[in-house]
Amino acid sequence: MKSKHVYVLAGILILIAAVMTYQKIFTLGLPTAPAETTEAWIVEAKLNFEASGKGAKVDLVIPQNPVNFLKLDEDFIASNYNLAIDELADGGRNAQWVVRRAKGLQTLYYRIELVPQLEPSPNYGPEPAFPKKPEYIGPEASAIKSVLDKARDGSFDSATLTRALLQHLDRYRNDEDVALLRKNATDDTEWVKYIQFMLDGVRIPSRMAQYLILKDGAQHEILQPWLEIWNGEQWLSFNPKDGEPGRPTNGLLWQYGETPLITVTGGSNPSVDFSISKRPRGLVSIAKEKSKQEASYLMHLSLFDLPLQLQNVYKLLMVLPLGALVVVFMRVIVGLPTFGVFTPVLIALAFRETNLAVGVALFSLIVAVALTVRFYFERLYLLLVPRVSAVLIVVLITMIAISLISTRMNIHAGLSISLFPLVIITMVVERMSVVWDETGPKNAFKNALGSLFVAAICFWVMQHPLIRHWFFVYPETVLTVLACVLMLGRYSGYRLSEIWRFRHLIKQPDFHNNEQADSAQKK
Amino acid sequence: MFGIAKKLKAMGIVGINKRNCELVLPNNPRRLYPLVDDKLRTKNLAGAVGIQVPELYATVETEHDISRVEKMLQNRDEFVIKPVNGSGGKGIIVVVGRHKKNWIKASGDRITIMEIRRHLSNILSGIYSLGGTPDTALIEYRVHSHSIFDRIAYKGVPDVRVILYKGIPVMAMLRLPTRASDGKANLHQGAVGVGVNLITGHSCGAVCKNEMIEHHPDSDEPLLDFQVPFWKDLRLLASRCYELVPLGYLGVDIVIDQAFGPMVLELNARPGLSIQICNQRGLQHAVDWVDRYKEEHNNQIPQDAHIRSELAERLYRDLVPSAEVTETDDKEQPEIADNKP
Repeated sequence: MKSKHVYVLAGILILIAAVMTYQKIFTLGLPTAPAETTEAWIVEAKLNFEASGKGAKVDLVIPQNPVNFLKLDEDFIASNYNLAIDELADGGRNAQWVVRRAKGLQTLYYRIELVPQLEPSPNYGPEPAFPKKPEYIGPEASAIKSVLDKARDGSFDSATLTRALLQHLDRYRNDEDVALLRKNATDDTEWVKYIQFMLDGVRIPSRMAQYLILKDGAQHEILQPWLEIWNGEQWLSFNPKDGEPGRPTNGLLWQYGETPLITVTGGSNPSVDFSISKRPRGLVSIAKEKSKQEASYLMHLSLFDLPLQLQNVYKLLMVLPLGALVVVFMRVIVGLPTFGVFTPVLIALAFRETNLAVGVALFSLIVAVALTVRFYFERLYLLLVPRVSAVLIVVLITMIAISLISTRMNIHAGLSISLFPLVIITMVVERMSVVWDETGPKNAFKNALGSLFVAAICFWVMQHPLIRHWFFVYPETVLTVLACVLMLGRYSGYRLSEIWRFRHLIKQPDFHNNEQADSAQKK
Repeated sequence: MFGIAKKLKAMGIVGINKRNCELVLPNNPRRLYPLVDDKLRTKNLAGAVGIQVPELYATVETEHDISRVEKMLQNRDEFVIKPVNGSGGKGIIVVVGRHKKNWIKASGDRITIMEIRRHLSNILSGIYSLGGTPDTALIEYRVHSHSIFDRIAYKGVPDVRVILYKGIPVMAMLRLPTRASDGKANLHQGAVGVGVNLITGHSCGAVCKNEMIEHHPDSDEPLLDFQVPFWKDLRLLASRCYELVPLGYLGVDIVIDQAFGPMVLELNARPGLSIQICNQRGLQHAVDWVDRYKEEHNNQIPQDAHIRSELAERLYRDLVPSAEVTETDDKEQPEIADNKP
């Protein structure tokens, strides 16, 4: 009955942990391994203008929340300038630098760091009004009409019509009508504007999006115009050159419309120069950024929200349950003797300060010395608390001695001992001497070796980068550990050590049989 | 490995996890533990219902009591000093005789009154109690091991451990001190464990350090035909302890005194599992037998200790088919010098 209850509880805990972890991995894209990195783009916009010598005001359109990127960081670098950022109606932002007095060439920087989103969000923007049908005039009118008519054939909605129109304009450049129309646009931006003008004729709402195409090491990049149309439900993107639907690959949506990228008052010759580079960035740091920006309930349960100092504490604390699980397993399933329940975990924590081999050596040395002194104290018939305190002081003195000697000998491992937890060793000495007195040295050593062995395993588990990462990024894993501990709490099978202990009960009949067989052979 | 586990399971061998999970935790309410951990309370409870225990000479609760007790001890040649909350036999001094102003310990060493005072003081300060909490010392009658044990017990006093499940004796063993165990009746330290036939008290196999033996390792006396004296009295005495402390899984340690016969020395709320090795059978079958019995009898275990004690015979017959054979030579009971204290 009770067992069933425990298993159901454990199942629920594991399920909760699994669901949370699954969501974190597959919807938030949290990394499953500590070293995982992704490519982060760094876009730097360099603004130049010639200041007139009086006050100057610079307006730069900057992206807000780029649809298919996650903004990790942004910097505004301009000395002496005051910065103000406004949100624009179309979802972009405007950065305004103001300076009271500036003369000569001015250089300002805007830097943004981005990583690609796993699931790009749809184009945003309010539902537009339907455009009025423009009055086309002259030879243009018949050309537009003929082109639109051709596009209308074989299309059934605004998306297919737009695509057909763009394809037609691309494929039949030599066609009279198309050539005539193309003469109206001198550059890509003009051309997109002209396409919008044509789409107005079939009353399809459209807008221009300006993308920055990200290429590693690119210099002097300029924004690429893109076409978006409203199909009655959402904004759809099209490549204005060939009519392919979708956003440009690696395109960073910088702004909508044709607002000038940079406006300068009180200066001349403004220019914006984009340079783009790529660098690897740890997924964890990205996840931290994400936790700030996304209002997911999962991220409210994330340890990334804590102050950095607390985070470091929890990085350590989160793996303690796993150490406890190791101890539980070793005691309940294997049946290894250890001093106390958590002594091995605490010893393992002590090893963190050194490394395993040095840790074990130092630990054994200090315990041996302190134990010897402890036996001397035993003969003085000291009361319990003063005796334990005396041992603590002896442990400290031993540690000082080891540090001094190793420093003299230029062994640096000895220095890290200073953080080797004092109280833990004292408790081990006390417990070991009690076991020694009560059940003999053999048992004491058995317990000590058992503790040390379990501590080594705990240490290995607790310092493993993957495990540490996993428990910190997915704290809900603790629920799984809890479930395992609960289930082990109802384990009523044999310990491995008991199979050894009771083995004679089994071998007995075999033994007799063999004996009989032996004596029979002799006869 | 799993093959062995399977066979052990078939034998009904109970492991520590199973003992804790299925025997101790559900059947032994924590609140009753102080009754068995505190030897003084056990003794008083037993005395109140007429269960025979070694006579209490004095208790020492404060440093002040030590001087008072000192005078009392001047008239005694033999006694035992124990910490009330001690465990594992720690802090016990057995005084067996007098030499002028000093006493002689069981080991043969002398002990002065100053040493006894210091020992009592140590007990009071909690050196031998769990967690170092202040303790009380008790001074009691020294049990004289029955002479029948003389040839198979080295120095110390052998005792019989009876395990009661829901008040019914389900398994018993005789523990014989050896030279290796330094006179202590502790199997871990090399004492001999002898499985006991629950019907007759005859030995049914002996184990020393996990090895099956047939002769005592020190005296080479045969162990297999040995019969525990006053077996039925002893079994009844053990059964009665359930009324004292209604722990569902209870170990009763009984010694057999030359003068007074069986006496309850100690109770144990979580008796160990080595008893299964000496008896060559697992506890699980006995536990199942009792549970089945309880189910068949309206979920009732008989109130009367006599009936419970008799039930042990039925249980043993059911579980050990070869049990009857040894019953025939149950006539010869050793003499008791004086059965009443």
